[in-house]
Amino acid sequence: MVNLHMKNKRLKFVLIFLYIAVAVLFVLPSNFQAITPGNVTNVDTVFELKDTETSDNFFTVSVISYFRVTHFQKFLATFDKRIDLSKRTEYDESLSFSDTVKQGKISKESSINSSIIAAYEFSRKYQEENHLTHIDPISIDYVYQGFITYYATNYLNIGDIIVKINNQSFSDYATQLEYLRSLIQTKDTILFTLDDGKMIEIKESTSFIFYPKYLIEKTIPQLEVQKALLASGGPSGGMIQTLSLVASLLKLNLQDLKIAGTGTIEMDANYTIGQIGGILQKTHTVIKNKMDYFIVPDYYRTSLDIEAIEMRKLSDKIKIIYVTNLEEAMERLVDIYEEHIL
Amino acid sequence: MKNIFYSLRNLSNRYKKNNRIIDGNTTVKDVVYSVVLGLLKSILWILLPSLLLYNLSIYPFIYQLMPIWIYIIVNVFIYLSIYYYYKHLKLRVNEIKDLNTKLLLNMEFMFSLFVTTIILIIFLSFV
Repeated sequence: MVNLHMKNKRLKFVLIFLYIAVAVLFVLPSNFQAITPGNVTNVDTVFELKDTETSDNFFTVSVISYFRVTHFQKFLATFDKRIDLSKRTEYDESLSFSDTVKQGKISKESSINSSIIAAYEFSRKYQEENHLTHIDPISIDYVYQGFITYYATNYLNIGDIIVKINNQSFSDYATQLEYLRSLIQTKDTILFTLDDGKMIEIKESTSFIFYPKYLIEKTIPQLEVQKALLASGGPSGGMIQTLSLVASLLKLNLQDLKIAGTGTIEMDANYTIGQIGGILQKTHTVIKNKMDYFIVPDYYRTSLDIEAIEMRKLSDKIKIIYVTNLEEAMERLVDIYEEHIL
Repeated sequence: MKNIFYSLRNLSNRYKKNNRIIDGNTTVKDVVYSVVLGLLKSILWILLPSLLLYNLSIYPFIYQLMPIWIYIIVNVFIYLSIYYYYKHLKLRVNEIKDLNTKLLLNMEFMFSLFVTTIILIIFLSFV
């Protein structure tokens, strides 16, 4: 009787130990982060043009980011080649989860505003150059407010808006960025003026990442942005959002074609399409969601990621289009239109 | 509706009279003990499967089914909690013939669960 009681006690002890060991294995975080395939979202859920039909042919592509995977997840990730596993850098470690969420919102909002400005400016120019008289007038009024801080090691906080540098105001992002770069190169003193009037002097070399902050005052045709849908973060939808708006403003009817795209929209003279993260995971997402085309930045034509896509013959399953700027993206879009619709 | 009203009045009277409920032998302390133990035991049962699912969610097809997993786990948790609650009160629902008593038991349990959830939400909002 006593022996049985002891045996039961020992068994209970072993079970409790096993339970705790497995729970620890499932919870203990590793020093790795992961990106997995995500989903596609129709751009027409974000933008709505009044009195003009909004194109429903364009899709942004998202991935799922795991900021710190557990040891067990790290082990599992090695069995799935669609999952990108990377060691957390010093930069990643310096950010808290709420910082990352804030950054995602800043970049997303900036990319939405940049897309609207780029789309309206580009469409207006395109309309004038091609004498598209059947299309209603297109115009946009906006104000450039300054840099919004996305990342700063010290001196600044995420979300700070810099309206002046060395007491100089700027009317556009490219000029302000160029001015700051020249000051950094010549190692001159840098004095930032924030939107609340606070002045910050940068005394030593430090790293910053800024996004442009715009205030859109009026658009013709009137545009509504569904703010509730800005829950996800990141700037990678910039190019496809711009293309979607351009197609809607220029009344480009693409019927049932499904076009996904990824890449940022840079606010320079050519509206360059910038790099993004997780291209391989995005390609898998696009294939799974049965899109007809996938527009990506030209950078990936030669990058290792695209090599991986080619090696896995993913490009046989989807038509990948590489573009460097908005004009080229528009040309490709017209090619698609002529191939399928005309 | 009439049943619920009578049951509530019945429960209130029993508390007022002698701090004894249901069968006249179970104290409020017993009920609280059973609820806490029921919740703890069910947490122990669902903790590992939940953590395993969280870990497996790194695979896209498991991640996409997350709402279903969460629904299943929450339901299993509720049913396990009810089961352990009755078990510790040394009662079996099917053995109880009286409808009012059955109703009372369920109401007590749901009320305790509701209070626990509120406390948990308040606690989590401070963390």
